[in-house]
Amino acid sequence: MPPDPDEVRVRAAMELLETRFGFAPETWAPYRVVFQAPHTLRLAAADHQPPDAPKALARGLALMRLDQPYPKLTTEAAMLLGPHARRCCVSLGAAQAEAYLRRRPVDASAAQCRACSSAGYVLVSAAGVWLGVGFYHAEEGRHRIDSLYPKAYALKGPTR
Amino acid sequence: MYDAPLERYHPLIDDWEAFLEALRRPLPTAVWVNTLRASADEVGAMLAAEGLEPAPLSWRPAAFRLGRPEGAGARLPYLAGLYHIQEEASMLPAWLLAPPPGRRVLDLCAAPGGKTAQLALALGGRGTVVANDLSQGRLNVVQTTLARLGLANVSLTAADAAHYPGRDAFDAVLLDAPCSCEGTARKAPRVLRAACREQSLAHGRRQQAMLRRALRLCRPGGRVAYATCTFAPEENEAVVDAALRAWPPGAVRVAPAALPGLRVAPGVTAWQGQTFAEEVGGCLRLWPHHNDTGGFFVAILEKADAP
Repeated sequence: MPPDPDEVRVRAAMELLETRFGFAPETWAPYRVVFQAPHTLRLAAADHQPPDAPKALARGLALMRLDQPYPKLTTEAAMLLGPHARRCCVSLGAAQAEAYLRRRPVDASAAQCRACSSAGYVLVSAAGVWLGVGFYHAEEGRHRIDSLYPKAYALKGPTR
Repeated sequence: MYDAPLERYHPLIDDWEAFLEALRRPLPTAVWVNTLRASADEVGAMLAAEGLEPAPLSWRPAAFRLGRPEGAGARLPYLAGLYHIQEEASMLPAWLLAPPPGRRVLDLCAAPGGKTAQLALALGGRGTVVANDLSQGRLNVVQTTLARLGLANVSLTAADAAHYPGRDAFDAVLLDAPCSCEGTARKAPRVLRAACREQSLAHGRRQQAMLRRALRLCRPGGRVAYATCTFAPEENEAVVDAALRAWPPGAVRVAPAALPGLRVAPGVTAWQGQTFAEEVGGCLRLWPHHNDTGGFFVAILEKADAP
């Protein structure tokens, strides 16, 4: 019997995330990753049982979309899974975090970016709490995180 | 401004002037802690460091009233999902329902999702909460709240609460029914423009249909929390009374509910010529002047175990 194509897509995405962020396979133990057509993976509690009727419009949290050239974790998934990341994660200071939450690019030190091995998505934290996803790139010794914090949640108004 | 639309409740209220005075004051802001992400002590310290002046609530742990709430929804700990802002009175029904982990719970009128999130948190982020609302647009708000708080044990459905399919499917059901919202007048005085007995009677008919369905959806031995944010007995005790009368004696009862640290009043058992079942007095009323909150009504109904 051929493997379920949705299961194949789910497994491939989980392996991608494990490789990029160093998630241990046990990271997924409390959850079930499910494919929701047309392009979304969702993360639900492992013992969660959606109703048969009415049909659930969504279950659990959005994990990532698969219809992008480089699949990106959602902000909510980054906040949830960040504590399990072993690489490609950055801890920001207070002023940097404020800039990140305002969707401004953040200049970071080499020490802050030592867990970032290559350009690409990174998980962003500050003061021990996880905030979301950034895009890390380094040029000529300068380390920069582009904020991918959602516009809808971003801080507005004057800086405190 | 408040006197005329609410005058009909004068006989129910112990201190009319204090009641009106409370309605004229701004509503305090309260928050509860997402204990899946941080402890109450940790969040309390963060709130204090942000200058929000948190004071623990007297009646439930891991929740604070903020002395200086400005910008509470734009602070790093909020954005990181460490706490949720919710009117203190609105915390009552989910807290009283208190489903233990492992239970299957339905929130029939879930938007904007604060109570859904409380229920999902009570289950420890595991198991099943089904958050239903008639409006798919309002379910987006629920989803945003759950996403920020990282609660992965909720499914969303969009159905008419009065016709939600199924039977005996849930261990606990929360029905925070659409109502005339008079108890929210401190933050939205406009709600009183339409307040009148006729409006409450119309709401009451729909609420009765919803509560009938909620009781059908709850398994024998389970619990249903019925709540509104209105003062109107037509939408509160009368709805509970009708639900009790629709079942054989003893099949559904009002469970005694205690909230040490919070001053609550019993449900009224007679109103404008109508007499309600004596156990309707076991419902809880929250008057704004008693605890400096909004107005609220909660009944916890228990379905007897199957014979």
